[in-house]
Amino acid sequence: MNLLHPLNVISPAATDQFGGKACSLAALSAAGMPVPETAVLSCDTYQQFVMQTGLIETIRFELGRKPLEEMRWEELWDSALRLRNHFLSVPWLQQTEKGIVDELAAIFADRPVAVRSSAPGEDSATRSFAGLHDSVLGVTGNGLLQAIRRVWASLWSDRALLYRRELGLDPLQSRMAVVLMELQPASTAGILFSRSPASPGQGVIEAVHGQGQGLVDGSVTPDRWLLERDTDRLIEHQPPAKRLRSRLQEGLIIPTELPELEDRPPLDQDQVSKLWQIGSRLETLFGKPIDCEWCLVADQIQLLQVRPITSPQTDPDDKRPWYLSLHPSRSTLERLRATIEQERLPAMDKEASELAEDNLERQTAIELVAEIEKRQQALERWEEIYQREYIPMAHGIRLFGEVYNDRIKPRDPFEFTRLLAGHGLRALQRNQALQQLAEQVRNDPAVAESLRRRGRPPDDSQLEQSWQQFLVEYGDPAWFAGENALAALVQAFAEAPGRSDLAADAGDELEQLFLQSFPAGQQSDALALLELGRAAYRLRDDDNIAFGRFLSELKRVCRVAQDRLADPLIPGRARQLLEAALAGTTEIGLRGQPALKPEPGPLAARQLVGQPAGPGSATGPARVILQQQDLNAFQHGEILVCDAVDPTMTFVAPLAAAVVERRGGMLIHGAIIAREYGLPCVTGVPNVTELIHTGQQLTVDGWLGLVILETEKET
Amino acid sequence: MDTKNLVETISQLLHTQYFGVLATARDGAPYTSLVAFSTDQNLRHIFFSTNRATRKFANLSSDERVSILVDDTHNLESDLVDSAAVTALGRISELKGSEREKVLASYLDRHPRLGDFAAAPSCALLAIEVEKYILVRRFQQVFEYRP
Repeated sequence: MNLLHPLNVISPAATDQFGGKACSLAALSAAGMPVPETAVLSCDTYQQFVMQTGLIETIRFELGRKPLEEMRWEELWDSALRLRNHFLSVPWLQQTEKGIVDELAAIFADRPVAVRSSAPGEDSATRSFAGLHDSVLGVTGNGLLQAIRRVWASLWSDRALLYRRELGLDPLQSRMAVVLMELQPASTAGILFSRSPASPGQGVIEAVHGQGQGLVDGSVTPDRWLLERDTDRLIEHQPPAKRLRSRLQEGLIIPTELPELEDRPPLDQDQVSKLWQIGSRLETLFGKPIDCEWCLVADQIQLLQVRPITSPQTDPDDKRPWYLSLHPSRSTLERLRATIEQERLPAMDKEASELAEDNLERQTAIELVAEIEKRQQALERWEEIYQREYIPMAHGIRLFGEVYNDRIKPRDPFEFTRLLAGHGLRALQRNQALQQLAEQVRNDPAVAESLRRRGRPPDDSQLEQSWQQFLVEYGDPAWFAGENALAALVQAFAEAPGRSDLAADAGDELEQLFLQSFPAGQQSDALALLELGRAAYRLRDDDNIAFGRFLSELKRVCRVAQDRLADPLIPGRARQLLEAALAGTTEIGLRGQPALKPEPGPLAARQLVGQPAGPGSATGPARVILQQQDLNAFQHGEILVCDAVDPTMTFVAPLAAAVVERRGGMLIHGAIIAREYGLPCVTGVPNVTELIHTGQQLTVDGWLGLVILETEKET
Repeated sequence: MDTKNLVETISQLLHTQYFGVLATARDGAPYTSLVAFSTDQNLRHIFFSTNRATRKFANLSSDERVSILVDDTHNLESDLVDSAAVTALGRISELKGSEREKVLASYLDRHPRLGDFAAAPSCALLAIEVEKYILVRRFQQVFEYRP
């Protein structure tokens, strides 16, 4: 039985069976164009795999937990990671697998291979899934089977699911062929656009030294040549600021310095015009403008893939670039980390501290207008940076998780989070500072009495000093929970049994296991990857604390402005301006959707399903947070139920018995903070604040992702 | 929450399935039997017939509390996520006289082959007055509904 199909038996029209990429290669090959040795696994083989292994049921089960359109991207991340683990570990028929290995050995012997997706509809003229599915490069021998499974699994990656949801395609109808192509020892590689996506009258050739993957994933900037389509005239050569080379190491593309080639463009004039001619031939062959990946091997051009250029995107709401940014490469993540840690967070801190020093009470009404705008603009500026840099940075967690799962093959695909937790989250430092304040209250009844009566410590007391320091460092929780919020929190902490028990864990043991799974020479690189994962995990929460300080400042200026408006002596014009500025302030509310109160009716929830996000089980009364003030009443031992855990809510985590949230995923703030405190956590429970009411007895099962509500005894 | 959708799911189960598993008890020991049932429009009652000599009838005579499970599984693996099951809890009573005649007609509309069986003098037509339904969907999602 032959499962691998050479290009010469594939009809270029058979895209349903072999996908767009394989069929385009078959068309190139039939036209006598230079294509490296290639074999294709059809969609039927994928289908056999998912049917025979029962994976199709696993997929249905995973995606059937909740309607796809109700799942947030964090939840899709989790589902995709679980599915990927199933794809990599499920046993298949030994005979079939051996058949594939034998056929591959007959074709490629031990030469390295590039394994790429070729899904039907992936590269058509109207839609492009380019970059959504995985490629695995430089694989040999038995590693090929695992690489094929990885490529198949990428049909179920979070970004592929998000993208299909956007296009309204049914994920359960999705199939995938796989292209296996001999990896070329390229001296130069690049992409040719017979029509420029930016300028329809021009074509573009992009080229880099070495492998092309660094160009495709954006980690290496190419040389660019712009050509006029009508006359074939070279318009311009744009060299990059710095030439790097993409080097392939252990299947990863590493951008490398290349002093010896620094001054030499990767293509000469003659090669540029040869490529341009090939581009024209391809456009004739396919009957429409194309883009084409190519490389040079011993100065000979080889074509690696070609596809029609998708219709120019005019939709400003096109979210594809954002989806793609959800999987930044490792080098991009390293750069992001350096930027966030060394520039962004210090800049946020500095700016927030400067704002905190403004003596607002002494400012005139007109000056206050400017202060409101200043804070508002700061928030908007940082929100934009948050979307662009902080959210993609979170992918460092997943990148580490995937490598960990590939090396260790754990039963629990989220075991890796145990290596990431417990590494200095700011929220924990803040809560420890809160704990220390509570300590002083617990030991001194006079201080406790002052808190109860005045909402602040006695003047000139020792507590007052630490109190002020806390407000400067972490902002005043009053902005979210109303006046005297800090006093209420400190009292609740003081009344609760002391909690110093951050989740004790076997993280060290797992770390050794992970590092030792690499050969000695690669362990330092593995450690660097672990550090990247830890930084991503930490930053995912720290950014919120930094953000909270800006919200706190906006709230402060609003309060001062409101007080000022009570002054009857303010001139009319200034009053108008101040009122307008106040009305224009961002709604400072809880994140997420507006929470709705449960309506009494004939229907009641008994057991709700979400995602398991923190292992363990706990029973206790619910405290449903519908508005920020509800946090003030939070008591030790209650279960935090909310729409979305805000940075502010992590204040009460040490008091909570468990956390339940409507938003889903292992990587949302609620889940991260819950794991730090070892709290059972279930996320992604639809309508949870409508279905549960404060005081109701709950059991939270963080292993299975269940919330069980106590109802009265059956009749 | 989509209340209408949940109630519709219950209604659809009860109007499309022919059989349910009835649970009765004797001396605290549970006992289950498969029964052919029908329901009324507002889901307040579930009807079935049984011979008076059966063990379930004896159980019902000493304890009127029952529950009945109705599901739409097809004995496929995909049932785990695709199917729904509803359990009704309630109390039993035997229908007599004109009420029996009325219900029997609609019961036989649903189960035309049971005409001789249900009409036999040895057979009782029973009604469960439903106190609540417990609906399970998507494997583990559970809701209660009081008709």
